[in-house]
Amino acid sequence: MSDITSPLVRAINVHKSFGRLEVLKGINLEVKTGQVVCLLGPSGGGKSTFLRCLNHLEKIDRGTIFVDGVPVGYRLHQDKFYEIRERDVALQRAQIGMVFQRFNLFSNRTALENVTEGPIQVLKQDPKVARDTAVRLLERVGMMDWADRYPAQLSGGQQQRVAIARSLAMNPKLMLFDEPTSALDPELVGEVLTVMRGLAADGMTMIVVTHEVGFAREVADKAVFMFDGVIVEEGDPAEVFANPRHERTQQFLSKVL
Amino acid sequence: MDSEQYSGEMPIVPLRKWGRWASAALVVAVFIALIIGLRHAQIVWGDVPKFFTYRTMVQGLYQTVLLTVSCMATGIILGVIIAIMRRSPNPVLSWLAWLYIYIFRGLPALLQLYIWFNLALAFKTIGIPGLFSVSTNTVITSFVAATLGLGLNESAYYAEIVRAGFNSVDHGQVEAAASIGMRPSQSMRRVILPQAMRVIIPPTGNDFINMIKGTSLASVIGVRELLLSESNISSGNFRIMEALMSAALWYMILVSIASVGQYFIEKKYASDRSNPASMGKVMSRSFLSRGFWQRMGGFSGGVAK
Repeated sequence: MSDITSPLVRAINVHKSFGRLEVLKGINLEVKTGQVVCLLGPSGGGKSTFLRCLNHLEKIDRGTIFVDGVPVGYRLHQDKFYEIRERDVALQRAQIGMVFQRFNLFSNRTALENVTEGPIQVLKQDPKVARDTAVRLLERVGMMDWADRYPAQLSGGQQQRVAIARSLAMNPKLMLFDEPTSALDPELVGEVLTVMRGLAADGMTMIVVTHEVGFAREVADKAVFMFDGVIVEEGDPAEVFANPRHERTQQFLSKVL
Repeated sequence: MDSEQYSGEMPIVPLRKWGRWASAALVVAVFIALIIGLRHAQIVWGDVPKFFTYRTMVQGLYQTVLLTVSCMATGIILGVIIAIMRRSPNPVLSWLAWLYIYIFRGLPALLQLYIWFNLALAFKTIGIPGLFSVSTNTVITSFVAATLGLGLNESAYYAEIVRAGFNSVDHGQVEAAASIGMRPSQSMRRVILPQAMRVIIPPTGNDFINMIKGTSLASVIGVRELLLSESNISSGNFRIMEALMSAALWYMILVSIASVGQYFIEKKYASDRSNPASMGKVMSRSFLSRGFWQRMGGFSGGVAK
């Protein structure tokens, strides 16, 4: 269904409220296969909420999100979006990796078991095959020496690298990163960003909510600024960081740069 | 003395803890007095071991164990179901679960036992109209009534234990499970339940031990467990205190066995890898261990002048 010209992700007029608080006020965004898009902006601007809508961890109130041409969480039938069952949403989520701010590794499983869990339980892979893949992925994120450790025995940066490997094990079409370095001690941020740079270089499609402006400038194909539930500015990072057009982007960048 | 005079080789003298020695002596004295008092009691101590192995007593022991297991099994199975219903997004299921807990936790266990035991007074037969029907009295024996009364009561408490266990699992774990494509049922089985076990296991041990003792209530509806056996023995020979002591001894043995079991199961789950600090923690409370002298301050030692 996807070809290189059509966007992998297309969000159209996405609205989301929590009670009376409107968090997303009509978001439109397109992400092409292989692109790295960084969502930037102050806390409370709706970046994380939008990211969580992309794999239906949050239900949207209005609008549509297509991933690979299929509406996420719904089935389009004769001009109506029908909500689909949770188990069918699960099938969609299996193709979208997500990395969380607080890592969320399964605390009762080792690093290796965290990585094999999805392939064995969801993809029904042969445990031996899943293990081989997991070993390869843990080597890729530099965590093979800690394969038998439990999450509590690992540093934040190590946990996050395992979490990235866990997502990759599902062979996702798209990776979502929700502030992946915000909960880390400053000296551990680099190791996680290095892994993410490698992923971007390998052509993974990534949407990254981050405060790491340096990373965005260096790696992103597109930088998107969100304030108060709307996208105020988006474009080539070099261009946007050098000459922000919108007043709020200027203010934000003057604080973080 | 100031730091200039410090040679680096002066010994440290621990503070002598006189208060600890005094309070220990007092408590030991009271304990000894109680033992001496017991020796003067009008109890024929020789009868205690005799009743201990009476056939009636051993049969009672068997019934107590059997009833404890059947009540706990009922309580745990129903409790888990009720807890899952309680957190269901379906408001009807969750409300019914709340009502169930409200009723079965709210009524005295003894009263519930009487209700089940007397069920035949309200319903001569039970069954599904048109399909089958049986006489209530044949189905609800005193053992079944006890299992229902104590088991349902337990299930209401157990549902709350399981719920607390579910709540102890960080929501991020559930989201992570969802993000790799797990269905809710997989997430429950593979992520939530194993982690909730850590919180659920210790109170389960407590409930089990409580149930061993709680089954004695079933004596009032004629289950021939330990307490009723004791009563049957003593009503024949009037050695009431002796028979009671004998039954007490059995209860202590059962509770001790359960406690040992609980200790090992807890160790298995509590040494959970999610908290490395807990791994090396071993009970070091043994009487007269080296820690004893340290905590009492020893005989030697002295007071700073």
